[in-house]
Amino acid sequence: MNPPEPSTTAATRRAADYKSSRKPVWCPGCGDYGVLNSIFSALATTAIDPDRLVVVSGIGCSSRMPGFIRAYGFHGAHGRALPVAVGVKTANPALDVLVVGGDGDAFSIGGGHVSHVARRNINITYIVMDNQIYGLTKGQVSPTSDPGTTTKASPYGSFEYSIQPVQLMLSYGATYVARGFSSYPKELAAMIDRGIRHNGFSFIHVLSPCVTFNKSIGYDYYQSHVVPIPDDHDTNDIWAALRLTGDPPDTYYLGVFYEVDRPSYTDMLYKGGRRPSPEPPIDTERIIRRFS
Amino acid sequence: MRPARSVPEGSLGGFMEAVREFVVGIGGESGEGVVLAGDILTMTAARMNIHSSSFRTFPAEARGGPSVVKLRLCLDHVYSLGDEYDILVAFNEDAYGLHGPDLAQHGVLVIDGEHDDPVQRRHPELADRIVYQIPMDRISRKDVGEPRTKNMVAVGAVSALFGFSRVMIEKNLAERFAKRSGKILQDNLNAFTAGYDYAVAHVEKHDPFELKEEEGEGFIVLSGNEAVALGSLYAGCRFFGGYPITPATEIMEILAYELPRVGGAMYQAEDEIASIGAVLGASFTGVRSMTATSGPGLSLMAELIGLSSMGEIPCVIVNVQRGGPSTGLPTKTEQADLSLALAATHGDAPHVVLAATTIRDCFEIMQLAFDVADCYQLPVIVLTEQALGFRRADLPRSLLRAKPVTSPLCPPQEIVDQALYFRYRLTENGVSARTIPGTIGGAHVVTGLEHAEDGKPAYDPPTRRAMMEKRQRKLTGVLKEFGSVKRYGDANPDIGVIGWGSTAGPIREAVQIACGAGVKAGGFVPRMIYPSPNEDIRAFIQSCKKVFVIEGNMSGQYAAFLRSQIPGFDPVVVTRYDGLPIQRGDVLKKIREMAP
Repeated sequence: MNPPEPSTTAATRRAADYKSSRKPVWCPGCGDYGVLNSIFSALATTAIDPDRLVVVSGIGCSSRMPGFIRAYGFHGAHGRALPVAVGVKTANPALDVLVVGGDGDAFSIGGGHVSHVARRNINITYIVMDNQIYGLTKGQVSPTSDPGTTTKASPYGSFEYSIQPVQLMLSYGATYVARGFSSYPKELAAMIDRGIRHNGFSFIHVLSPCVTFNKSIGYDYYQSHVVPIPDDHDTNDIWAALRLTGDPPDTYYLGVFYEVDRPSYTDMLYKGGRRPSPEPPIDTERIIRRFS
Repeated sequence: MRPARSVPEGSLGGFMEAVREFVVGIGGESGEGVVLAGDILTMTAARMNIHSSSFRTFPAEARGGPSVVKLRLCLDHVYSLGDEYDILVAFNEDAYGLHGPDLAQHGVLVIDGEHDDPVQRRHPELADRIVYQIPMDRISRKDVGEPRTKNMVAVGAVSALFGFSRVMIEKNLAERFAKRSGKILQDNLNAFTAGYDYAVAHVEKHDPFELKEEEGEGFIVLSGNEAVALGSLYAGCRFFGGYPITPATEIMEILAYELPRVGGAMYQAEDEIASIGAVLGASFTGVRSMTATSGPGLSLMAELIGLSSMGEIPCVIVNVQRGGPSTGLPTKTEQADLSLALAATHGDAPHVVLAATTIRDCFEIMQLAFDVADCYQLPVIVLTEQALGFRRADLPRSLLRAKPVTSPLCPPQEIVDQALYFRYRLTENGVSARTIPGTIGGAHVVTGLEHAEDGKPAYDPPTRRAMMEKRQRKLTGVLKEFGSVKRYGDANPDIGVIGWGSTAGPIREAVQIACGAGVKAGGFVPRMIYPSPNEDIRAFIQSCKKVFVIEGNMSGQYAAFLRSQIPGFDPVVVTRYDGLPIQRGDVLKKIREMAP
């Protein structure tokens, strides 16, 4: 008698397995399509079980992504994707948790959370699609917009200096930091794949143009400003990684800036191997003694 | 220790026999160990099977300022703190100045000082009072050699004077300081003994207050915060996300210790928004999860409470109310977050508001909160108050001996047919089958956007209406299945009192006293504020001749809410907003005023 057919396993996962029935709602030409495809292939390569995958997002164009991926999804509130993801991962560390969103969600309203998730080394993968603009609210400056950016809400040109996401995340103590470009899906998929495999917090900054509201920072602009990280870069060297972030907006290095091993939050939390479960034993007599 | 002696009648205000029920106040500077002294006396009473209720206040600053503990001891179960002090223990004269006015006419003052420097000399109003002077400061400095043990000198003297068990206090001290250096324990024991011996040798007792050990296995003693924390643990809570805020922090601290022991986790987030975000994430995975905060924190959580309602993710939020608005009175009590809790968030977002009534209820209401949240997949806000959180009361050991209840309300992990599974399926009672990550075929997207049955964003009017109504329908079931109210006193009262939260105890006792004095009084306290048990409220109102609402806020928030719920109902409103809890005397006063 033949053994039963194995269910979909590592060897048989395909990118299409992760496609949901919903069609993306993005503008034609949006950089996020490329990112979504890279995520599909990375998930297939990593062979994650869609029923054990949770994709969390906040609010924004890119934050619609959980709907387009066949998995458990959590499309929450603006800027709060990371805290939700922390809850998911902490309550059930066996789940794979992917967080997706944009530059405004991550670094404006959600800016207070990224440092803490990074320093705690929560074992989740965070993909930030950066288009240097607020798309869903129809084009206002974001914290990554270049100084001088003119929008309806900054008619005289913004005069604020922009933040450098990669530099920030390295400073915050993220244990995996990479940057990709949505036009280079293969390379991006490899970074995401490596990020998912990384035990700890992995941050992937993705240059993902907005063709509707930020025409000046489009594909052509990025094509002429991206440079691969040199082969001899030591990804264990935080200072070397930080030096590579020193030059924007003239140069965007693409690749893995930094990766280091450090126990993740749940590694430390569940050292004894215990996990939340609905009916673990409560030592009632000990508690009575504690309060009498 | 000598027994309470019979003394000439006049000096005792008519008491001839030992009085075994009384109220003790202990006042001093913050840092002098007032709270510890109060804790030890409370715990000792519990071990002597004497019922108690105690309360502490302290300044908002980490150090300095006056501090006081109030402890009511009773042979029957107590529901309130009582009124005046029968015994006031003052660690210094400032404390007497502050709390002296609350000392009963027949009361006893125990105060730091030397015999040969009678405090009456400076305070002529004490001339006819019973005053025991114990040189607490001198004994701790000279005899013990450790000025920080002044509180234990006082505890020693108080034990000798009023019958707190010496053996039990020594045992308590040994347990408390077990993990500290031997010198600390020894100093405290020495101070206790010195205070005790001093009182025996130098004080001639001529008051009637005297405790005696009762039969029994001893009580447990919990503060409201401790009761909330343990109640959650017993109700199956396994994830707590929080951010420190007075007066709710204690809940987080207890769960930080207890949760890892049952495989759970306490997550101290970077702010309140992250706390509730993490709670929603954890709850999404099927783990019973909660947060606890106070007013300002609840304001910050508002947006995600809406997400919990819209996304239909169970969530329990405890709000230990303090005085507001803004930073307000961080260490004082108020019942002024009701309007916020009722609104909770933007939009029409069905959610449940519960209010704990007593310390015991702080424990029991958490089971209710988690069951409601899980069964109906919505946010449940549990209101308690600083006045409950920091109060302590004795409770039977059986409360904690009860088998923990963790009803597995999440659908079991089973394979569902993806094609037939709609996370937000429209149902009669508004509740749809919920799968948790890991359930094969149960994948869905939770979203704060309006959505169709499958979770897909949808903004068309029919879907919007259907979904709004579906979520709203849950409240009918919640009220029917879980609504609960408490009624006290006469069935057809002349004077009816409606209150909520911590006013329950004072109402209960005031009504009892009034009835005892021949006034037909009745009390009504809902535990479920929203959805509002309007039928019960209406029945109560109709059974009364006159009704007043009493609550601890300035504008009468609950009364205003009741007016919106019960057409034509326009109650007399009694409010208190000075940072102190409503007391039995406040209720009684109004009952007397309104009585025929």
